[in-house]
Amino acid sequence: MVKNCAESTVPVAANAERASEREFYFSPRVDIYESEEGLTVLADVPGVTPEDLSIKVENGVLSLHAKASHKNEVRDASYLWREFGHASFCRQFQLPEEVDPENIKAELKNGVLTLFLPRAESVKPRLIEVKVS
Amino acid sequence: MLFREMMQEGERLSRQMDQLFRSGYNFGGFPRFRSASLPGLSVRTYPLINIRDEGEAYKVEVLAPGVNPDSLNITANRDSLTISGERSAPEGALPEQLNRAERSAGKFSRSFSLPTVVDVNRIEAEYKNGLLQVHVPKAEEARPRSIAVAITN
Repeated sequence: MVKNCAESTVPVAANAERASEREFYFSPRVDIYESEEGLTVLADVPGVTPEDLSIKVENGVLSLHAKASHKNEVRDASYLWREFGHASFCRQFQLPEEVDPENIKAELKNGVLTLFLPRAESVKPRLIEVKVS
Repeated sequence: MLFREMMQEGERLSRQMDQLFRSGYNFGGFPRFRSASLPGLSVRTYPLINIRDEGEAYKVEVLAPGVNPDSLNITANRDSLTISGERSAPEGALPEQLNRAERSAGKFSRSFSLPTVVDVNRIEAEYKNGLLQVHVPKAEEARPRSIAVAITN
């Protein structure tokens, strides 16, 4: 759906950045899964190159933003059939817990962004030993 | 009696909604992604396509992120084109680990016909950044021709 960037957010903090200019955004479809090590986010961003992509984690909010690749866009009457257009992608998520910002890994392949957000050391499950005295 | 009427009304409404969403990506004058939250609908229309007429050829643009390039298959027959392939599910993710699953996975196939006969032997395709671009030259007899106008007095 076409939405304003900030409005497309899933529960997001009030201090989240608002899109300054009126622009159309697509909300990329995502898969998110969770393991003991952290969260993996997969997002469909077809037509996006690594240079167009910006990923930000700020105050526990993950922001994905990808600039539209207007080089593919042809604005004339030559379209016989049209199902999609080229617009920017934008989506934000409130992260459930602390992530380790130093070790975030991002990979872009075949138009799919794979993002691995490792859990911060402080929130990893810990085994507590019981001392017997 | 009342119950049956209500059921019929509900069914009619759901059919109308279905039609609305299936044809709805273009209202408001801007093309939209169809919603991923409507089960079935997004799957049925994967991948989305744009077709352009470039005079000598058709340009088919296919929005197919996350497809294994080896699985992509294009078949052409006179004036029709079929694009099929497979999109794999996220590797190593157990169902209980999923928080959100909006991207569908599985085999897909989409067929459509073009307005004229095409030159099947000269079709070229390129897959890059999740976009598949197919260059489909028109058959010799279907190409536009300029006709000289003879002037006689």
